[in-house]
Amino acid sequence: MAEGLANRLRELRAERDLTQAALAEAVGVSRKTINTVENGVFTPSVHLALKLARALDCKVEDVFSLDPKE
Amino acid sequence: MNANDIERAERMSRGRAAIMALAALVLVINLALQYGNPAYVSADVRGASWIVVIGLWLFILWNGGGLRLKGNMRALLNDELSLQNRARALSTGFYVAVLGALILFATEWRVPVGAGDALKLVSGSALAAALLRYAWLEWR
Repeated sequence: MAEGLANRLRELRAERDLTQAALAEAVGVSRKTINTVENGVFTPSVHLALKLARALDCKVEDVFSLDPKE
Repeated sequence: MNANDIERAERMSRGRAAIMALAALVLVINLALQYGNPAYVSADVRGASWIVVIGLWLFILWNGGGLRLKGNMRALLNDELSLQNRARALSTGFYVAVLGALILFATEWRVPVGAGDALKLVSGSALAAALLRYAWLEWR
């Protein structure tokens, strides 16, 4: 993940009882992409971030935020 | 797109990474075995086969392969992460090509290196590095 960028993807996905594969299917990417976003390895594009937020029925800033330590 | 597509894409993605790693290994072995042998840089079928091999793998690395696959599966295999991994792999290949050319340039001051061998070393090592980097990024 880009320095100073935090995400709550894993937490929000778990709250909705979604597997990584189910979320991947909903947004049209591979499961590995979801996994790497959750682990902070990959920073998604704005387009994918918006699709993730829509799939989780929340605002994009609920999923991604600036690291408060920054 | 369904759950089966996601699972299948994951298997295919890992298979693609494994094949690319294997191709990189074969390229390096070929470079080592063929270095200094004029038969492999001559203007004939054997010499031209190098152009075909490098061109083919460069094409596969550039487009991700799987041209026979249908839209959904191709999209999954070439999603954002995969495209970024390929861009990073191509970047690695570029740096290896430039550094390899510089090393050969300096080596040639003391040890004669044929032009054909030098070009094969640069193209082969750059492509092998790119394929290996891509395979590693995809396997993480």
